[in-house]
Amino acid sequence: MNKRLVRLQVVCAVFAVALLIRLADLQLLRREEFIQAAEENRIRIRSVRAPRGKILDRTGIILASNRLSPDLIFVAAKAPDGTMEKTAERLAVILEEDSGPLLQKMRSGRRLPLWPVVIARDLPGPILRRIAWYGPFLPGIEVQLGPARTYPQQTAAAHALGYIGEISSAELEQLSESNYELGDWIGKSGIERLYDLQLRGEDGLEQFEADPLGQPLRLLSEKHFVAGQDIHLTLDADLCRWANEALSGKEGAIVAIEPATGRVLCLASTPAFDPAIFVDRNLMDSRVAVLSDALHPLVSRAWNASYPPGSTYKIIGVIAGLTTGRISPSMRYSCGGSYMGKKCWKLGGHGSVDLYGGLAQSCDVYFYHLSEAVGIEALTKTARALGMDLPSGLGLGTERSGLVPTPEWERAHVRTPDGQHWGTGDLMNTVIGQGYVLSTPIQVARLIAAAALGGKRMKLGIVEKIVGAAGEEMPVFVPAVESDMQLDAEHARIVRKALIGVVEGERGTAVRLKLPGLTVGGKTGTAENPHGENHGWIIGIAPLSESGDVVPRIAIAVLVVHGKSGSAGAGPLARYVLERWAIREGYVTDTAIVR
Amino acid sequence: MKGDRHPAVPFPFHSSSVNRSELDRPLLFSTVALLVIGLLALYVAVRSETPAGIRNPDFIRQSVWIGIGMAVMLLLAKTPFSAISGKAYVIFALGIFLLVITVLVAPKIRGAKSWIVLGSVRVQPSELFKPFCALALAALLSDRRLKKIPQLEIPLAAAAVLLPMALILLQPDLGTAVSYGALLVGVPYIAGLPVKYILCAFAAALSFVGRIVMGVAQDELNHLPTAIGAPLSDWRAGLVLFGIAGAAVIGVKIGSRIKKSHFSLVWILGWLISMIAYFASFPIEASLKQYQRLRIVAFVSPGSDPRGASYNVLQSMIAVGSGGLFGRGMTGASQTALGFLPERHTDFIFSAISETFGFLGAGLTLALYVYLLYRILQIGIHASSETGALCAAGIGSIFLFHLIVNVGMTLGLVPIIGIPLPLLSYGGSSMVSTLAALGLVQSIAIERKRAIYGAPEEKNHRNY
Repeated sequence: MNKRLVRLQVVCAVFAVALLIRLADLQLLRREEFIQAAEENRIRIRSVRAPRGKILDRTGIILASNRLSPDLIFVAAKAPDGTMEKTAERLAVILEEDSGPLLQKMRSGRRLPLWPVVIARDLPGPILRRIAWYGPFLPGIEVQLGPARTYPQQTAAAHALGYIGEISSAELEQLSESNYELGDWIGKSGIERLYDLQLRGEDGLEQFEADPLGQPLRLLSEKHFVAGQDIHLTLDADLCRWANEALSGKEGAIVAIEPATGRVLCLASTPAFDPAIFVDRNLMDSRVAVLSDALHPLVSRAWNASYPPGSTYKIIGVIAGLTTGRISPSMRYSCGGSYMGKKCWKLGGHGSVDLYGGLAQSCDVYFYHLSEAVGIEALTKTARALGMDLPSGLGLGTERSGLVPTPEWERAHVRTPDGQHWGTGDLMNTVIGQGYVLSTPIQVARLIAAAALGGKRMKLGIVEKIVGAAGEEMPVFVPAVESDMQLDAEHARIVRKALIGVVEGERGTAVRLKLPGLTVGGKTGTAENPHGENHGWIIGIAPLSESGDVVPRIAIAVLVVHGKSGSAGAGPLARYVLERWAIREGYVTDTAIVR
Repeated sequence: MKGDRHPAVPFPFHSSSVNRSELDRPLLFSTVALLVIGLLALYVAVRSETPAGIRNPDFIRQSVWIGIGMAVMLLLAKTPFSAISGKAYVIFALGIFLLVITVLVAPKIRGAKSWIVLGSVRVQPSELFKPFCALALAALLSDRRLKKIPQLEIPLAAAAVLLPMALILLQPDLGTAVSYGALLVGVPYIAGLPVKYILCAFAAALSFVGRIVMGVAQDELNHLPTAIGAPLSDWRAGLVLFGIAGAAVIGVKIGSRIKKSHFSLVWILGWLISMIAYFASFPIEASLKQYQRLRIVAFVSPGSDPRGASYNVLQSMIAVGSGGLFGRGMTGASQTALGFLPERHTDFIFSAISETFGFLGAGLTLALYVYLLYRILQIGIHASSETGALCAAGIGSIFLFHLIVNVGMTLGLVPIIGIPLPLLSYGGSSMVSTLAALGLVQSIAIERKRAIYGAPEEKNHRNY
């Protein structure tokens, strides 16, 4: 027995030596390797988010900004086992919510125990005080200030501003050279996307000593962030708001631009959305509603949808007629309600009309005659010069460039049952903005602006300037002429007179835009829609003088999808916006308005 | 001279009930030295908590437990060993009763019904029972009545360990249950069980545990850690292997008949049991929980998942390795101080020591431990009774097992099974159990001194 006990002592010694050898191996031979691993454990690098730049309108009204929202987070690693249910019940009382969903959120944090789960966002003050008071009874629960993007104007200009969201893996791969990392916010559409690099700034870095939960214990070194730059837009927040009010409950778009410079003042589209729903988890229901809406609220009708422009297109016919010399203002055509089997919208006919009467009353027969005199080539040339086949160039996202049909295009793209191609019917359809013609509201607004300026088409712009965090300004917008038809002064005067006639004239279709103290030019359009109710268009420009010595300050285009008619469907909306604008600008006083 | 300053009182224990001169001083010295190192390590481990240092509740609790443990140790040391061993079966029955109660009524804490809760105190009967199970086993194997019926002795001895093991597995607490296994090997070996039995038991254990490890590793990692693993993981390969082994056994049997030499049936028995264990491991492996499988994987391949199951092993190895020769000191030991080391005051206390005090500190701790073990077994060698010798051997085996598994685990040599390092790890039940065991050993030492030098003075006086 004793011999065996001695052997057991030897066994002890052998094992102890084995352990000692391993200890020496780790501590003496491989020390460097483990020292390095310990340092990597200890020292963490955390990026400090740079505050995202603001987006402002032309007068400095904030369209998009940031705030810190006090969020409630749960760190599973800090909650002892079995406390979660109690904590959820207590939280339910404090937050006045059901404990079930709270518990579910907390449970989801157990998969990655060190990763905080957001339980509730944007807590109001009284609840924050209660959380602080009950803190010791809520293990694992903490309040953390999280960044949140705010859009104070809500749905106004939503499509132009766009929205932000967490970067997707596809975007991360695509932008691999631009310092983005997982979990970053990135602009997903509109200005937020187009100017993301300027808005996001440069994140700072903090190197600190941390415990295993990643809690910083001591700051070792840091690199300050560079705040994002502010984007000042040319948009007019008031106009955007009025446009949204006018459009509420309808599907459509309102575009306003500054004709002489090309600044975009308003880009409204309905149904609209509040960009905040993509940031705030409390608004998840609204997000789902928007994403599943059959009308696709995220698609801007101002630039990403095209419609037959209807009679607004007749402006092109007028200009083409004048520039080719085939039409003079005094030439008259007789309208009996139809011509060559094609009807005028007024079945009884307009009688004998000249250019002014033809445009003011939007007589289709007049323009049928005109088109025959002018021909498709001159029409096409004029339409192109006025940008009817060009996108806005604002770069706010996918954009339609409209369609200016030509016989060549028709032969290439249209199949007819009888093999007959482009004919007089197509020409007549084109001149009244029907048939194959398609335009976006932004193109139609640009059309009237260019028409009033004697065919001078300005390059559109929406960003005025970029202002850095230190106040340094970088101008972006410079007025530039994109193309100029250089109409002679007389022709330009005639066009302006005709446009004014549509509003001011005796039987003008855009009479709803008539405002005391302000001379307004305009045109209506009722686009026939074989799939449903007609679309209503109205465009306007003000102030406008026949002589051209008053510089117009606003051109507006209103589209109401399925609005039935231009003057009755779209007219009141344009009136609503233009009237408020005119009052604000001091052209008319409130009481002077006769409704 | 310096050595003369405290000739009579080498340690500051002034208890009138124990004649301090009777305690085995080397054992007491290494016990107290390890306790001091343990408290120092605990002090380091709780540095990052609030309140830190000696006002930390864990530190205070551990100090109180040490006090209680020392009292138990002195009480047991003072009681004559024959008096204790005479009650060995009664104590054993009481212990089994406690374990049954535990399984029945204990609340589930961290997934196991291991603790009996008395007010604010949690007691772990499976820990406390350890030294008394060793005592009962020693009593059983030295029982003169049983020696006459050897057919009964071995099964009874096996049952005395396997019964508490089974009860603890029911809790379930794998680590503590496995540590009872040390008794199963150590005590019968010292009692004179032929080595071939133990070899057969090892073969059976290897066919069982080894195959489970290899099987799990194969499933989870899709590759085998070693070439040797291949025949163990596939049942067809196992069949071939056992076929060869069986042929070898039969060959030896025939050979022994020709040579007319002795052939033990144990070899055939061992072969059979190993084969049964091997094939029984398949359903057992299938019933393992996912976390248990991941622990096995973490052992086989520590780098496979640094955030998951192997996190503990890796962090422990980083702590140990970064300690170097002299250690990183109390403030520099970032793994321990900042809390990267998991369970740093319980199962991984040795890693904390290694990081803070380096190879010198860890080596000293190991040396003290080996000295403690040497001393326990030395007392066993010189014990005046067979029961005492076996009891010391049993306690030594348990300590050795704890040392190998716990320290091996912190060094990444042994898979993680949560067992404490006696005298060093935080934990009241373990501390009291360890000190009680050392009290038993002291009692054995005193019994021998009494046998040699006669009873202490006070008792001699009474005899006049």
